[in-house]
Order: sequence, then C-alpha cells, then structure tokens
Amino acid sequence: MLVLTRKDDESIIIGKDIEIKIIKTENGKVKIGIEAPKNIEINRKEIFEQIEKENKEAINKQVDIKKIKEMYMKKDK
Amino acid sequence: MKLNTPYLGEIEYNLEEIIIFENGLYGFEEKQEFILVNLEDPDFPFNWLQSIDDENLSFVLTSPFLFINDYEFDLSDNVTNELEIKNHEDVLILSTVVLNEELEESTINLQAPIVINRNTNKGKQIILDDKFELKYKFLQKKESN
Repeated sequence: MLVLTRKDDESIIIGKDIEIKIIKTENGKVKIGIEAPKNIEINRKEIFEQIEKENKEAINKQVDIKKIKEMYMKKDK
Repeated sequence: MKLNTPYLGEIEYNLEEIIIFENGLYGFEEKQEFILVNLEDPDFPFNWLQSIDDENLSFVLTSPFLFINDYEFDLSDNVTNELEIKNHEDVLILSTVVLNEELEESTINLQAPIVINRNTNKGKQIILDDKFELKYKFLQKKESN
C-alpha cells in the first residue's frame, strides 16, 4: 500500500482523472472530496462489504425450497 | 442448452435468455452469465438467478414491489447507459432474498437491487443510499393485518 502525507486542501491524483482532496481533518475524522468520472463507482467500504456478505447469504444453499414454499403458502391463509 | 442444478434440478434454456452482468454481483464479480428462472407460480413469487458457469450458484430473488408499496429510486444515467435502457417498460427490478426457515425472519435487500434490461438482457446490481434497508423483513406481519 502506498502511504502519503497530505494536509488540508491538498490533493492526490490517481491516473488522469481521479482527484482525491483532503477537505478537512478534525478529531480523528477526515473529510474527503472525490472527483472522478461518472462511471467510477464510489462507495464506503463497509457498505460494499455488507452487500457482498448479503449476496453470499442470498445464495440458494441449504434452504429447503419445498419446505419454505409450504410455509409460505400456509402463511397467506 | 441444459444445466443440471442441485436445487432446481435440470433446467433447459436458450442462449438468448442469458443475462449478462458485466461486473457480476458484489462478491461474485467473476460470474457474469445468468438465466432468470421463474417458477411461474403466482402464489410463490420468487425467482432464481442461476449462474451458467457454476451450476451450484443461484440467488433467490423477488420483486420488492410485491411487498413494499413505496419503494422507489432513480436510476442514474450511468446505469441507464450501461444497460442501454431506452424504455422503462423493459426494466425489471429484483431484490436478493435471504430465506430463513423461520419464514418471518426472511429478508430482502432494498439497498442493492438488481436491475435488468429485458430488451438487451443486460443486468447490474446497484448500490443505493443507505436509507434503504439491507435486511428488510418483508414477510413480517404488518400492524394493519
């Protein structure tokens, strides 16, 4: 991992068209501004990881479809 | 073409039914080709997104609109361009489902819906604002019942 030191209002450029700017640092929090082409998806990492985990749980695995279906049909009545 | 799947049994499909997810699904970026298996059962409204490359891999999906009246969001230009969406009637929105044997504990993911253009058969999972629930208990009894 590349580690750089930056101060408030300083930026780094990734490639040609992604700029990451340190807007403000305060009490252990960093406010970051990102400029990137629209087709670059930007997400907080923990959200990204939660969605990966959720997808892994949505895999059709040990659930017994027949049993779920029976329960589902009963529920509607 | 045929697939022999452990959960849905033998599935026959045509090449034109294949939906391409160029970026895969989150956590499954390397799987890009799927078919949507509809059990054609109006009383059990779930679909299976079955991988073509991996017979063991399928996701349970459903339409979120069947369970939530006010679910809505805007598709970004980026998504409409990528999926070549020209007509909104072509758009199919589905949510991944985590089924639980305690049925009411089952959840759908409203934060990362799957968008499919039925016309071009291109699909994408998108991430919405975190005001949308990641684990919405869609089968829990409502107060009004």
